[in-house]
Amino acid sequence: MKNKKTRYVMYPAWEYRREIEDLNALSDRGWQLEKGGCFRSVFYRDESVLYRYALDYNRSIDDPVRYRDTFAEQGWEFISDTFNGWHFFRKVYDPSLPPEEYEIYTDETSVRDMSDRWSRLGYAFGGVELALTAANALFALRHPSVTGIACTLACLGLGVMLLVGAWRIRHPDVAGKPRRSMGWCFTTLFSVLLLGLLFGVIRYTQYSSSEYVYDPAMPPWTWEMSVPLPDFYTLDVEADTDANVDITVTNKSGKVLTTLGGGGDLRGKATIFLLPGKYDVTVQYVDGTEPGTVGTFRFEVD
Amino acid sequence: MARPTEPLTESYFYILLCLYRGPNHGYGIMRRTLALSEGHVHIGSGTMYGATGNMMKKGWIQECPTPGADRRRLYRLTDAGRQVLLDEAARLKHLAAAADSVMIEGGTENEE
Repeated sequence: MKNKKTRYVMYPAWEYRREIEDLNALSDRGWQLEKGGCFRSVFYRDESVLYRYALDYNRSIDDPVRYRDTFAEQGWEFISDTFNGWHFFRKVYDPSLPPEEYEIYTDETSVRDMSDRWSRLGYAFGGVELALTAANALFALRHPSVTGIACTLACLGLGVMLLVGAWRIRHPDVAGKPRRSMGWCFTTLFSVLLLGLLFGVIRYTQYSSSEYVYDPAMPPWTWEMSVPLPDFYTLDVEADTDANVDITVTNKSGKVLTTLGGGGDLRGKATIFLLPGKYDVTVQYVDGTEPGTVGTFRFEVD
Repeated sequence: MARPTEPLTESYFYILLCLYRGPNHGYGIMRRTLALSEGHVHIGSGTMYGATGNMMKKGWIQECPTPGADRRRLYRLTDAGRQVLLDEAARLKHLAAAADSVMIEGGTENEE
């Protein structure tokens, strides 16, 4: 039988009591917490002891030694803390002791102080996310794209989630107890929202510029670009040449997706939907162009 | 007349009270509070850390050296803390006396 196991699950801050209940239940089944984390927790097998766990949220501990000593005096063993201010403690369980022995906050004021510490952060970040939602929405309206919409929705989802969470941790009696499966639901939802944000943040941009001297004996000049995500892309072309040229975007099957044409100081934009893959941007001088004609071209795909 | 401090929470009151006779450490304060309150008030570690930290900032209590190799933190009452405790005890006595005057000594409702 395995003596160690790693559990990948996230609990929203406002469900920290659910996390404590789950840790206690795991201890009852012989799995004791070795290292607690926001995304990953490590357990070891020991059926000889039962623990009860406590989670404290405090990012501004002015005297860490006094903090841990105060907990140790009442039998709490420090396990680990997380980068964002959560501290895991445990105490050997004695069924003859009253439940208050396993609470670290025992009056309304200190419980409220702790929930206020997180809810202030939740409200602040929730507000920032909503501001980002507005900014992304404005950008997406001006430049519609799948990534822009994904980013907007992800910001909105995170913002609403944080604001609701900040309210819930502040009003636990009104908010009620979360359902059993919320840990996994939250892990999934949070991952989707983060992916949405990442999807939106990776804004694909490629540039190329070239000076091209026309030689009828040579094949047309071609720039190969690769597209990582399906989306609407804008091909922005600036050309400086005395001749007329056709600029085409083709996929690898040779299908022409868009063509920009003209001469002199050609400036053009084309918005096309591209699937992930490689595409060719080809510059072709039209018939009748004098050999030796010089052109400079600049492309931007965004 | 404005009160010098807000009414104390039960935890703050008991912590100051438990230091009235001399220095004590967190665990000792917790046990003594449990006894004085006849099991009604339990001061958990998080509450104790926050309350003692706040009271040290206000200058009501201070840490004092721990004898020997004892790692437990010893706290003692300052003059300011003693005065806060006395004021609070007087306020509570006044409240209790007012309650008694109505509920035990036969005062009547809406008496002028």
